[in-house]
Amino acid sequence: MKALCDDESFSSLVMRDVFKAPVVHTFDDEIKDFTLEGDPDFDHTYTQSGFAAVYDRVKPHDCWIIPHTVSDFVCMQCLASSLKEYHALRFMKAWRQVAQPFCKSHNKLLDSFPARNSDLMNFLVQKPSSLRTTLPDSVLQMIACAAIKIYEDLIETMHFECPAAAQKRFSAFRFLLELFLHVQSDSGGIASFYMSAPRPRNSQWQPFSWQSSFQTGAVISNALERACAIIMFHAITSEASQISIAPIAARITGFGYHYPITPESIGSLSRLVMSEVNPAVTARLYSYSEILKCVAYQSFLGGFHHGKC
Amino acid sequence: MNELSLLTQSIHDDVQFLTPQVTQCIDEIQLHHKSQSERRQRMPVLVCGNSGSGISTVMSRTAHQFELTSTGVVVLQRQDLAFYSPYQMLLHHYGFRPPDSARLGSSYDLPHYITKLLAMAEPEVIILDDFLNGVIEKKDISKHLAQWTNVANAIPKTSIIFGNPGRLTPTWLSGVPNYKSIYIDEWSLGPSFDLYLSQLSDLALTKYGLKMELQKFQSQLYQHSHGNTGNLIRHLRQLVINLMLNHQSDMTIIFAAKKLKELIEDNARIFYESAM
Repeated sequence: MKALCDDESFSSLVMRDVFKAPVVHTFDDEIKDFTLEGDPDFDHTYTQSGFAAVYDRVKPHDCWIIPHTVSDFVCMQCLASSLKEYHALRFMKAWRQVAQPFCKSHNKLLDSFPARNSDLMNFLVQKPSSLRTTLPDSVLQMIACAAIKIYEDLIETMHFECPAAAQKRFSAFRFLLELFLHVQSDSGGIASFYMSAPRPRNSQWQPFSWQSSFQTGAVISNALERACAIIMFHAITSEASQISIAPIAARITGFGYHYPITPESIGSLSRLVMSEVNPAVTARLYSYSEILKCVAYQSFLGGFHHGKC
Repeated sequence: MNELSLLTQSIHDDVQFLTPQVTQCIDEIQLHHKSQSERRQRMPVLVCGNSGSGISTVMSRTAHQFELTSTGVVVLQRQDLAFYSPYQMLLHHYGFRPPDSARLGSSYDLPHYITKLLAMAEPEVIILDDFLNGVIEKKDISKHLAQWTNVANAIPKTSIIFGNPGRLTPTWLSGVPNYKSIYIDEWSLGPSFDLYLSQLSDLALTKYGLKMELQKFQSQLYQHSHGNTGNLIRHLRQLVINLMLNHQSDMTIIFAAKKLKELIEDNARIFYESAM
């Protein structure tokens, strides 16, 4: 049996044929040292085939995942390393988390592929989907590094907070990212065109409520859009953000992306691109003032309220 | 009876030694690997010899040696993938299951996804024992060689080592000059064989308290084994069992003269009688 790896996702493990029949009988022993908590792959698929009992035991919390049926995000360098080291493709849990569109090992944005086939040949035959941007790799790497830093700082901050505060902070993070990535209007949320060409409209993702428009946008967006949303979150929640984001803003302007990354402009543009603003959205945004206590967030709210660029 | 079975198993496990021919072959492969590291293209190595000459031992020991320093050692097992072409074997090894597998088997060209796989996986050494096992037709042999040659050209820094048992001088080898072949010789009577038998005698004395002094019966053992290591080891295992079943601690000419068939029959008879 090939060695297990803590960060590897459950379906990756299954695809490597680690679990030979009879699967269920040996399952408990196999996962003894394997962390399934928060594993995005360990979803309802496995409740269909005798895994139900185990699923109930290790059922993850809602971890904001991208379904396999939408797309498959991978780091090709990590996949190459896993082929070199383990002679098999290993897919990481983090690659399917909306909030982690990057590879921390290689400081880069994840590559996106269509839904995975069991033969795994798409990673050899196909090229990753386009990010719809003219930004060069060096700038994309800069964006990835910034997103990694912001995400890690957020996790660290939450680590030192009481559970209720941490939960509220993550809730704000999630809500704001979804606001920047939604599919409500033709152009989508602002993160879908800030550093790239606008996301092509897809009738398949027609939302029926603002909640679904937010959640759908988050899971169909590519790695650059999600990294952009994370940077925007930082811009509106940190006083020092203008200093840390300035180099990125300077670089992307040179490639034709002229929108300023200031709290006010993010607020007003976010408002402008929404076809309609549900009062519940505004209420939620104002409710986060309590946890995101900073001038930048107030500026963002001001921009959102006035909706002028 | 159970103890006897365990003892027999232990004799099978214990009575084996690397022959000088095998050691020399392993050293030669390592030397080839090192000496070729500066070259633009490494030549695939073909380890040839009769069945029982130690090719499998060479392959497994070589794999083990490489694995001590590298994770890029790909050991392919032909017996598990009897009908697979080289391309199919590589894909299968890395966990890919191409839907157009049959077409791959008959392809002379190198598909781009094999190139991509090799570029990603960067194997350092590929080892395949009995690499033409199940490949009989001349056309299929040339197809296999063409595919391996394509693979070798795509990964010039990779050492590819094949075992080719049962054929001392493969006729097709003359047509593929870019392969380096190493032959594992059979035994000939002389000091080297004498030393090997003496090592085995020491083992029998240490492990089982048997005073075999096999060197004294060199010519008989050579005759029984026809100079083949596999035959010799098979014979000696039965001989050790036979001595023990007959409660003998010293080897005599009577035992040395027994052919393998006689030893097996004799051992089976004693086993049967003790079981009744």
